[in-house]
Amino acid sequence: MILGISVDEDFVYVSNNLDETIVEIPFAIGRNLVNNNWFIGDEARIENVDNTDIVIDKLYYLLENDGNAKIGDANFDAKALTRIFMNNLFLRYSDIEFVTIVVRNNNIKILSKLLGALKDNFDDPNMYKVTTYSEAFISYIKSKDSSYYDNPIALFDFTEKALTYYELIRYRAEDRTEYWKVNKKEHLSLPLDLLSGETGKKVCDNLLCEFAKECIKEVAYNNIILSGVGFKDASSYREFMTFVCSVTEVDTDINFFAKSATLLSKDILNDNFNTDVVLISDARTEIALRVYARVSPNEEYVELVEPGSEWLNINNYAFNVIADDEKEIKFEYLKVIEGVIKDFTVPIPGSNMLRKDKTNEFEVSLTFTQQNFLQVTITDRGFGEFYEPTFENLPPMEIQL
Amino acid sequence: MAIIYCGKTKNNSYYIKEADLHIKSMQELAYFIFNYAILISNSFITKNLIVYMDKTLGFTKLASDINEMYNKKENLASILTHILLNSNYYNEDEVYKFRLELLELLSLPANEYIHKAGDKLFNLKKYEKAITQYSKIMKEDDIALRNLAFCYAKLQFYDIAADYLGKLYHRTGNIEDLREAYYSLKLGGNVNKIYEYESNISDELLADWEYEIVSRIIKVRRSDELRNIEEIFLMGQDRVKENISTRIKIWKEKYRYIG
Repeated sequence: MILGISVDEDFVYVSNNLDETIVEIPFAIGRNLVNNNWFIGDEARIENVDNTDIVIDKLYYLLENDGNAKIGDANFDAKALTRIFMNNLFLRYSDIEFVTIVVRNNNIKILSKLLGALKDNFDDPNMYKVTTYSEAFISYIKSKDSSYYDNPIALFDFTEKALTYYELIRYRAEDRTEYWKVNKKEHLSLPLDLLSGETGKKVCDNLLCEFAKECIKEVAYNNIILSGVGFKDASSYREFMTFVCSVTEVDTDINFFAKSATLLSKDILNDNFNTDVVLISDARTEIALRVYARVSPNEEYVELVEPGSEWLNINNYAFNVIADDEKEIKFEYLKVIEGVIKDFTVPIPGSNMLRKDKTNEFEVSLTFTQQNFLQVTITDRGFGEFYEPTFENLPPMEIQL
Repeated sequence: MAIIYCGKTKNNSYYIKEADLHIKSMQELAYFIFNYAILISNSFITKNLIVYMDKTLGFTKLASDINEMYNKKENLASILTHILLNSNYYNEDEVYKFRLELLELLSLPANEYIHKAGDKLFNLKKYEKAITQYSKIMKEDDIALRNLAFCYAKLQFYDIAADYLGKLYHRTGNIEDLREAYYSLKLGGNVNKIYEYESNISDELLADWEYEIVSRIIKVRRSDELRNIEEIFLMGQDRVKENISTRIKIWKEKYRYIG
């Protein structure tokens, strides 16, 4: 059996490849102090009449805060409790071939602890993967026909406490490699219990609608996906639904991420998981790019791409320089998160056979073809109406950063 | 030393009417001032130029300085020098050299000044503007008269060019001027007019000139430029149309002020 598990603040959703069922398990763990048996989910939440059980609800928050819980005479840290939770969960399924767990909001802290819990449960590291909502989102979209994702896809995930908006965009670089970028753009605090009354529903609908209008303005979307338990009852958000349906096609799948995690598991098992696909996550892409030049009266590094820019957006970024006897252009590349600085130079072609002093103007065009590959193209621009271009342009140079 | 950073290509250009030129960067503006100061009059600095420097080229501080100098009616040389010094193009030594040359230019006699202005325009291929300058001094300046004829020839007004060369021949008696007139008439298709400039011209001389014309035609037929044009025709209709359209655009630019 292949499992796909989505974890959010309150629930663990388990999907499998054999049927369409989704099991919702509260992310809670308990222990009976008499017989020392562990139990998870709803079993842990059953009212404890004789005070023999200790229940840890909201395991997610315990994990996030690196907390401890005293159960009986022993202290358990959150990681140990999660390992036991997962162990109990997997006991419910037989012949597990592969498990993928995805975590709400791409929470790296929770992801790393879940990975630890899986390591303890499985001897074979090829039997599991822990990843982000983003990667599951991509796996789901890639299971569709490519016309489904010609344009960006929007996703609203409405869980117990909040509504989160994601946007997925596919890029194709010049070498035809696919790149996917998931922006988690906005987050709206919206408690689900607001939907219990008619007034609350109206308020919720208005908030949803305003939020959606703000998020998806000025972009042509292929599809809008509604996921999360908050979208279970369509009658609670009529105005919102009318609005999003007026924008494009809408798919509602309240267990979207658990199902996507199963799809991702399948892809990995079937060797369809394309390792060339680069997921653009913020931590890996923030860069800065500068060129050393004279900006009167000083010589200094001129910022071309401001810190925090994403490499994928640097496509045909062009600027002009005048050689003024220089034979090469000096650049500085900075990966902001990693704090890595790299210098590199690009020769100016044919600079010894050009025009009068100070009229050798070039256009320098920069394009990232892959994450660490910068393509630099230098074109002779002549010099305004004074001089026509005088040398043939060389093919683009590729710099590995 | 380092390369000079010019920023992104600007979409908007600024038209310099004195030279019929469009510039798109501070460096081009500085280059024009440095090399073509002789074409610059007091009307060169305008509010439009100051706004262009500020809003399009992004030289806000410099634009503000120039605006102040302009309002205080400071002399043109000081304003031009200030632009050059702050243009991210010329260094102090080069600007010092510019000032010396500017002083030298301003001390030239009027005719010589006009002649040099005509030459600068001729070098810029702004023949119609050069015609205006050379026309002012053609009565007393043989070289200006010859250049005036060449300007018309460049604009393919071969008969007018021939007439000016004929006039020059009458003034100088130099057979070379008559030969140039003959070539112009040949290009214009009216060679018999040569007898209006010189009724006693010998058949041998005309034969020599004809021979030279044929030699030049053969040379042209073997030239790279002609080969390029032929290659364009082999590349198909689209390339031909593209080149014709470029050529027409250039002609339109050239003839904008004629007639």
